[in-house]
Amino acid sequence: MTPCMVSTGFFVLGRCGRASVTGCAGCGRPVCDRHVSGDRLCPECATARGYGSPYDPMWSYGYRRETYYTTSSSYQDPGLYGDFDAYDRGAFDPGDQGDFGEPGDFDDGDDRDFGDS
Amino acid sequence: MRAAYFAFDRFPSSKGSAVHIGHMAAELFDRYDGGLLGVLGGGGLPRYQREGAVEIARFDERVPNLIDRAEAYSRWVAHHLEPHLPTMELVHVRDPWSALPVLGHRHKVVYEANGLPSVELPHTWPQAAPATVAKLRRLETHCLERADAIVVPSRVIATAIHKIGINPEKVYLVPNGADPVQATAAPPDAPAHYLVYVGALQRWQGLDVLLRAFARLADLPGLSLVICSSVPERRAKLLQRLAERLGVAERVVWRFTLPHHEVAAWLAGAAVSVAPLTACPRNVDQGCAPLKILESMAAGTPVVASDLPAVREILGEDGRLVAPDRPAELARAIRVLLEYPDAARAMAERAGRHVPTWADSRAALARVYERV
Amino acid sequence: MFWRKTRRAIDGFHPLHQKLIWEHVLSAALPRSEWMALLASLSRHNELVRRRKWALPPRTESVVVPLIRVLCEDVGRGTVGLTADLRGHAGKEGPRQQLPVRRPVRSAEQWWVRDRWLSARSELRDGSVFTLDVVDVVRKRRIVKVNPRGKRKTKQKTKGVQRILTSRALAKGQASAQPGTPPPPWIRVKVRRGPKTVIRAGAKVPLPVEREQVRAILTVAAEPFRWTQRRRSA
Repeated sequence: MTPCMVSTGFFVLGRCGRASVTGCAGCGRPVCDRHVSGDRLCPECATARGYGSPYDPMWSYGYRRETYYTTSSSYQDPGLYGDFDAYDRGAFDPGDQGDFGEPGDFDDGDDRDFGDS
Repeated sequence: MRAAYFAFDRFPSSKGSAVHIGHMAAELFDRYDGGLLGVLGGGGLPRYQREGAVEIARFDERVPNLIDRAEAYSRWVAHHLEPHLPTMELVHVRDPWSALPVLGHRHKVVYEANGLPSVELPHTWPQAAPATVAKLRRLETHCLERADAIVVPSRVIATAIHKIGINPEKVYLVPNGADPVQATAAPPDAPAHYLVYVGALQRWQGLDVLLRAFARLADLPGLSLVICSSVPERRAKLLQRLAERLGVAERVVWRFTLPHHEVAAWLAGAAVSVAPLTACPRNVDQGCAPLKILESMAAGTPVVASDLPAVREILGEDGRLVAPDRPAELARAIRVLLEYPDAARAMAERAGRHVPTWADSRAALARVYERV
Repeated sequence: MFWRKTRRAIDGFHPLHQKLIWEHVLSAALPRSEWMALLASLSRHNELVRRRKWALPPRTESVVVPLIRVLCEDVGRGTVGLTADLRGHAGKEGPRQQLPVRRPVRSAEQWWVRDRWLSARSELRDGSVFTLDVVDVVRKRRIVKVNPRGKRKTKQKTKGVQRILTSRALAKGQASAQPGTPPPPWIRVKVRRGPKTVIRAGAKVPLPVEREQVRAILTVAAEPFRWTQRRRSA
């Protein structure tokens, strides 16, 4: 089973995790039947296309993004904007790098970057 | 203080990115009479340093998780920028982590896109989930949309940025450069006859293809392969093991994290310089502007490189282009150049004549600063 | 009788929706599914009800509905309690005080309106409890003066501020850490540590316009959540 990768919640974020039925046509991540919209989009891609009204069940996904952005600028806390949750961060722990490096890599302060040329 | 440059990258270092940062930041600070340079530190580099009118601040907090570290860096940038906000006129950034905290103020923001982290991420961090990549892509698009100007080193990246839906009018091409090399002799400890590879050791650099091609050149007596790695030796273990398995280990000379001027000597003395980039989306769609090719051209060394749009843009007809990921073809191309050294030298000389210098790049960047 | 159809349509609405139309108040503690039923009913309001007298009170669609959506996103099996008094400031005045005056001012009186028009409490899925209170505090002054020829002038002045108070009581043993950056200077934070840490964030802001109201509330509400941000200890 591929779990649905949509982030749920507004302040307390989590992963949906239900069985996915399709991949989002916009960003490609797996989405479950509850989170897929008419155009086979995940809620965030769907709301990114229009402003929507708060009566729309998917509205809060787009509004969350907007809120995190304004809040991160008023708090001078850019970390708020990225909304990376514990699942996202998990992949970037040192010592869990497959054949890409050694657990001790970071100790020299010369870790892999997001992309270095 | 009227200008600042932020990069989530260590400076100075042996990587190509550091050379690039050095030239771009120099242009910015010349123009604005100094400023603030915010980069990554660690490895014994000082936290604060003052060089004339330029203040260098280095982020050296040891946060093991990369995203946590990037976010801590972003907060650090916001914190360092704040006292200068009233006087700041232009901030130059290289990545979303530097861009996020500097956007939304009075000053102009120039975003230098040497790559798109969301395209590179799956290559450097294969265990990252597609949803994470999607979040990073949104973050990146958000920053690109809000920057006043975007500077790219090659047309391929410009196209990739247009595809995201960014206004093409604010994307400017500032090609990378390479300065003519003084050293013409190989270093004293160099083998007599050698191929050279310069750069980092990520998968998409295609070093495995090069090693396999080199194994096919076993019949050429006295030919060595020199790999000048910009990253430390422990990252090379896999490739060293591959070299042993291919039976070429004793003919491969490894050099790690050499300073830039020593690399120039290695390039100048080589028979052929090889850039075996693979045809992965990172190289093809996002594009790259490999400094190693430009520097080989400046050193007057014949180049064999993978036939990718970004490489073709730099090298044109003055180098051997081979289909990527094909060791046999790469070996054949190298063999041809080695067998006809005069033709190879002539080709290298032609290439050397049309290498843009860093002065050209800086002039192009200056025009961007004037526009915004 | 006119408006017969409209009345019938209103009778078909959710009971809380009807109460909102007739009395301009909303007070309930419901699970997520019930709130969604209320929102579904509210969404039909504008197409079925045209009469201005029975329109939804101000701040319903701009504040209450988005807030219900946001609060419901974070509840698990718990409930969201919400009390909204959307009758406006009228009728909530405190006693009038006379202020000392000098000629030509004949009288100056001052009174306050304290309107705690919104409060909410939700049990979040991580076991913490979030509360929110929004209080409008408006000072009103009325000054009467008479000029030498006996002409009377009356002036009334209004100055409004809003207090937004949020708190989050963490679940027993839930870890919290001070965020990397302080909140903006207009937000005050108090933390009471204990087996259940309580983080309170409050702000006093000039009365926001209706359109900006939710944003102001959510900006303050973000602070208690920053203390348990997904950032794990380094």
